[in-house]
Amino acid sequence: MFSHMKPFFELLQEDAKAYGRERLTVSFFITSLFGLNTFSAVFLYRLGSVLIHKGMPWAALAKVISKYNYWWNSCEIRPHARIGPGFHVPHPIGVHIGPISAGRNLIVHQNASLVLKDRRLHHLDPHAFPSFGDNVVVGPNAMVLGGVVIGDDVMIGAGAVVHTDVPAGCRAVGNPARIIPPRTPSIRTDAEGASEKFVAVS
Amino acid sequence: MSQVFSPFKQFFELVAGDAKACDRRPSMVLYMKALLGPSRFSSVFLFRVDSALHDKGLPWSLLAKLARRWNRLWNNFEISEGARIGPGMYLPHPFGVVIGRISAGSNLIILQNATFGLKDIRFDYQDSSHYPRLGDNVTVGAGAAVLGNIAIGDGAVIGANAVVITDVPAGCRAVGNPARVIPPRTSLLCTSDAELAFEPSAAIDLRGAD
Repeated sequence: MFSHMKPFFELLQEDAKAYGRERLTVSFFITSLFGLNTFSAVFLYRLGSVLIHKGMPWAALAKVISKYNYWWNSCEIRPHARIGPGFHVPHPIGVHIGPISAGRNLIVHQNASLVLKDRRLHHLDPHAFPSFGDNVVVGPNAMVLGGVVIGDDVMIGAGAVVHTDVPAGCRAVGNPARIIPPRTPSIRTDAEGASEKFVAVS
Repeated sequence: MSQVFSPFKQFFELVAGDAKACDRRPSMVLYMKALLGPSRFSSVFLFRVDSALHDKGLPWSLLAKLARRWNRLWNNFEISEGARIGPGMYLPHPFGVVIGRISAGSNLIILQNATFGLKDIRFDYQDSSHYPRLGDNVTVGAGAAVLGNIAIGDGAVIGANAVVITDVPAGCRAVGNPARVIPPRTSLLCTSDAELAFEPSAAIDLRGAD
């Protein structure tokens, strides 16, 4: 009976795993629906993104759910966004995500904006919004503006303003963002030594 | 008997310090109002309830959890129950503030959208050794991010939208992204516009402005 909803539940299961929850229960969904945990933002976005392409009565419901998400969690995630499984928003306050496209395991921190570069561009044009690869982390207060391409395993630092493409494996930090290439184990400076150890472990 | 009431006394001393920091007279009516409605004092009070009750066993820990969620829904303010912050904490506009398991001294002032957190998402978020340590009388500007295991000295001022990932000595200011540290002014003569950008005395004047 519910076989057509199987992919949706698998998607939710991946998201819940990224949130730190292995098993999906009814009570978990109810607390998410009422904004009582921070998984709520992702859950309401997923509901909206399924309904937005289903024609008129459902599309209107998707917009209501999006507004509800805005009201409850203070975050605006457009239901038109196409985001892969494992999407995680640890603190949904102030997050604004336009109709972007993103791969698996996107993590977006508080007050980050993934939006248009120019208000005059159309708000549903997918080429006007950034696209992300897999395993991207967007830091707090960061902005990614316009139709830029962010590669796999990119980390965007806190407070960075990114309006250029970022190649895979790089980090983008500062305002305007400068791109730091991936570290190679042979070259190591003292400033980077502290977190070097951690990268080697993972 | 005094031992039984000592945690209560500690809690009310802490909360009275917070109420004074936001120009309120500490009273039971104020505390009841803080529990019910969104206000600048409410955000700090709900955090104090949370941090006092989260390790006190089942009925109380549930109440602590409720206070934390209340804070998130009404004040849009997220703070870990493990944060240890001294009296006189003041948030003029608690919107968007996210605080991890930091330790801080007294008279901490935090403006909107500031973040205290981990330097790397892969670190354990429950380990307080990965979070910043703050001294007394620290002021943090709007949108600032203070990240990683760093020490912010007494009387330091973090500018608006600064991203701080290095230690800031006592009395210094940290501005910019990534932050550069400006030593305390020795004379009244201001040499550059950057020094005028965030003036410590101006930050303290914010308390009076309503």
